[in-house]
Amino acid sequence: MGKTRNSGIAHGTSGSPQETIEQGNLISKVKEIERKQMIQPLIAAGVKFNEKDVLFVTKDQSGQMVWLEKGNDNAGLNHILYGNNKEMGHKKDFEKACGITEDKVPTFLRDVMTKGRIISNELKIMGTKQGFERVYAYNGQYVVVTGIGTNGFIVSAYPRRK
Amino acid sequence: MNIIKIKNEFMHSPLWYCDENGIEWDNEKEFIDFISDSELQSIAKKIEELFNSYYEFESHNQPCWFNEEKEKKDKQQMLALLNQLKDKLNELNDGLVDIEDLETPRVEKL
Repeated sequence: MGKTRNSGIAHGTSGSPQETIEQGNLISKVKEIERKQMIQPLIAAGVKFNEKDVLFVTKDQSGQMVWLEKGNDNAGLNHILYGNNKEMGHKKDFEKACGITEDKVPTFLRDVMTKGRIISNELKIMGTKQGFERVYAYNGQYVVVTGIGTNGFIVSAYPRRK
Repeated sequence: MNIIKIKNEFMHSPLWYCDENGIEWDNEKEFIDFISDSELQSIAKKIEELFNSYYEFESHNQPCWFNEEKEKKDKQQMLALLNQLKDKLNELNDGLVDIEDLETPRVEKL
């Protein structure tokens, strides 16, 4: 029995540059699809958002859709970690209280907000402004407090000792 | 020693009651003199309302927009309130807490 001829379609051999490029393209396509799926609830809700900056979108036990963006000095992840003066953020608080480094904070917040029990949820009205202060259970000694806009945008988050 | 930090944050009083590690601590007993002082809390509320007024949602084509211009315009008003807050804190503090003002240096640079 002779060897079967191949179809004539060029394939790289395992580990070849061609295969690496194909794998890279496939990974990019998968990431693109995942990203589009992630932001779909934001599109459906009709809220304004910065597509390239979205880090996670989830629904917590209040039923509200919430999301985190990379943000800036005053809101979002950058604000959570570094504050609005580079020394006023909660990066070190998350390390001390929760044992997580700054690169893990987005995943940590997503998990706490998705799965965590809500201890309190207060719509605070300050003058003409409204926003939620929502507290999630974390572990025995600490809770995670968040400041969330009425549209679901996560402005701030920090650990609090019970 | 416990710490009271002065720091503005969305939907949070400028007063942060913290443990010795600087993490906010939900323990009223440790800070009762400050929490129960109506004058201090009234000043804190004015600062919180002023700072919250800079946040707008679904505005300027952003999910969350911070009005930096208004914050600059209100600089002297905020500094005056922060000074009042610190004066009252110092009056109430009998040496049991450290007071860390993170906000005044930031506002002064606006």
